[in-house]
Amino acid sequence: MTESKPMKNNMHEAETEDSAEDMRDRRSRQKRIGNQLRRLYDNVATEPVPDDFLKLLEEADKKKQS
Amino acid sequence: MQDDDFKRELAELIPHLRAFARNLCGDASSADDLAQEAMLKAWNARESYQEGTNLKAWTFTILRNAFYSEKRRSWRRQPLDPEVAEATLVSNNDPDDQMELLSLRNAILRLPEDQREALVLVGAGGLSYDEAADICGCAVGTIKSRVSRARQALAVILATNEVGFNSDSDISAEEAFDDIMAQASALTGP
Repeated sequence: MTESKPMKNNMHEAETEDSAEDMRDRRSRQKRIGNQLRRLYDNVATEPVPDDFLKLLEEADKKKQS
Repeated sequence: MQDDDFKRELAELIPHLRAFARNLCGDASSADDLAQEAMLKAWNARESYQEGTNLKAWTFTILRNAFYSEKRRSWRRQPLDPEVAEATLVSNNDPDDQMELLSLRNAILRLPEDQREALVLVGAGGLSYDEAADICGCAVGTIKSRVSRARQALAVILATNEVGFNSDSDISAEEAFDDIMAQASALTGP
């Protein structure tokens, strides 16, 4: 019966270590996801703008002037 | 603001409108339709824009409203065609990296819309929580909690996908990448 005490303590310590490691893992995973999210956005934002867009905008501007 | 100045500033925001739309819609052609619609709506509403306020946030609000408008409801609920989504990815020399971006993109599209838009605005588009709250018409605290829930959900979806990918399939990431590129060139080919 008395032997179960230190075992519990050990388990508790192991859990604490695990969760600290988990937290580090989680943080580095989140950082990675964060970087990739920005890249998904930037990949599109740095593409050359298709001609249609500027053409449409010019047309809308001309329509207003005429 | 002079129309010419407005036009120039609006034109400079087109890349951002496209990027925001692509992250909301998934496939490139619907996204560009949405971005064009938002650009023209912004142009037509130029007189209601107050000079000195944040034009990017203002145009994003217009884009978001267009996305949620009645007219869009039918198509945006349709399940995404994965081949189309894959074809919209830009080329990249690192197949593993490409697979990760692809998984992330698919995971984003599986998030609830309110979480997705909050995450895209803050996490990808680099807008502040305040700006995102203005755009979405909700409290700053709401945006913060949506972003946080979205990040957690993404991590879970990605972790689950990884397991599925490794256990259900014998092909390597590189082979999968080649498959995707073959599909992409079939779609975009002559």
